[in-house]
Amino acid sequence: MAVRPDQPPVPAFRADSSPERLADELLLALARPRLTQEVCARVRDVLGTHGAGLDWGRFVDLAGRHGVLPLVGRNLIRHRLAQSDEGRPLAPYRWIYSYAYEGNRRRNQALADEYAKVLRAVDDAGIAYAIRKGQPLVDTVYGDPGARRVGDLDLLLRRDTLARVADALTDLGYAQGRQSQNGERIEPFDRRTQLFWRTKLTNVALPFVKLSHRDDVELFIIDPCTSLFQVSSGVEADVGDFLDRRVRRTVYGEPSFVMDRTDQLIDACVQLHVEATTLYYIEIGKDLTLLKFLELAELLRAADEDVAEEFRRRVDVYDCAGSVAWALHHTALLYPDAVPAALADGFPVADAATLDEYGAFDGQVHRWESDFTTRLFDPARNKDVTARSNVPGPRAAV
Amino acid sequence: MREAPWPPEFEKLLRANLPLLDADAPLDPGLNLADHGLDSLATVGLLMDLEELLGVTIPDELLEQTSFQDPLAVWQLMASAAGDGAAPA
Repeated sequence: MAVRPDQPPVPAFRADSSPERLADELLLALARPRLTQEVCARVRDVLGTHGAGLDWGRFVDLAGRHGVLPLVGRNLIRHRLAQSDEGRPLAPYRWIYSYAYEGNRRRNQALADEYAKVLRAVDDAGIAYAIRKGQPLVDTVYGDPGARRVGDLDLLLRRDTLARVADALTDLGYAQGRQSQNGERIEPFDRRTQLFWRTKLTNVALPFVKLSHRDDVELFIIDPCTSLFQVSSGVEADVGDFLDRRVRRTVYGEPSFVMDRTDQLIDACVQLHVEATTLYYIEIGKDLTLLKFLELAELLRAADEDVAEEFRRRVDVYDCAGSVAWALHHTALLYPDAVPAALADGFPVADAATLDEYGAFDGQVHRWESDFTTRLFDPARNKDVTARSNVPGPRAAV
Repeated sequence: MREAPWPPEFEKLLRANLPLLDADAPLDPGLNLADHGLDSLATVGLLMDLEELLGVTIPDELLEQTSFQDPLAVWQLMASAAGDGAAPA
């Protein structure tokens, strides 16, 4: 596999872009773990020329929706892009960006303190686990505890250890339930939700939550997962394989375990496809999140030839090429430099018509009216979706 | 005719969730429930109704071990949940 440049190409802002489109392009340019001097110069130039007419409300809204507000905030502030060389403001309300980044860093520290306790407890109980997504990605992709908002702690586990996990978490004050309306209690999930999740969503368990009593953290959330693959996908994969391959890593200051790089890639591809095409996520507007494409791109950039080769092998073993093809195809639309042609060619999209379909995992296939790039930055893209998810309960991990 | 291993109330509740089973057709213990109209949402509703009927709460470990593919599997689940023997509340 050819060595890929460490630095993505400089974004090409179109001179005739509308204020809304300019906001979208700026978001793509700034939502990167690293900005080169060339990118900074280009952004500063564009903001100096067109910043006054840019739809900044849309920019902030989209940055929030796509989970990248702390990151773009950091980049705007750190590279002094919010003001010209003469000190003239180029982006209004600079404080929004600094607060988003600094506040996120404090918030992530609070999560780290709590989740470290959880990892210790799970480890002390002798339960085999691997952390998915979240903090391992923060460490690998960003190397900055403030750059990426973290929500829950996703743990990949064997199903037969769930009872022990429940005991360990209960001892720490967690319960499977939802926050009460006044935010002061955790109320158990209703029986229908419990039965549905336990009989139909056997790749996950209902989340365990705990009140944080902090304004910047609604809840501490632990998401147990016993398979990377949706039940409806038909993929049968022994979670033990993934746990056998887990690697040691210090996470939240604790000796812990994360999935190996290849499994992280598979997880990122599969999860991206699931979120983009499942009604559960579409309904809450979490189907297309720039953050997820960015992180897959970064994982791909960091993958060497050995990882790529093993990735191809495991995708074949787990028969998840369809999800991988979807994920690589769409990630390449946003980050063409991150997806090597040799890798993408190995996972061709079997039927291009499926690229704009959703609902397959729900057992009801529908088609989007607009294409991916149009939908990505359209906050109202789900307004014409009439199909409804039949999954009751929390709108968290599925 | 062989006596059903379950009480009439169980059969009545199960039949109510099998729209593709003729009313006068026997409820065979090995009948494929999905083929006779029991979908995933209806399964959840059925389990809730059976819990209420029999006055039991199915433990999680039993839920995870059960396939719900035929009447006998569902009955055995409820019987196990009830301990010595399930009976209408």
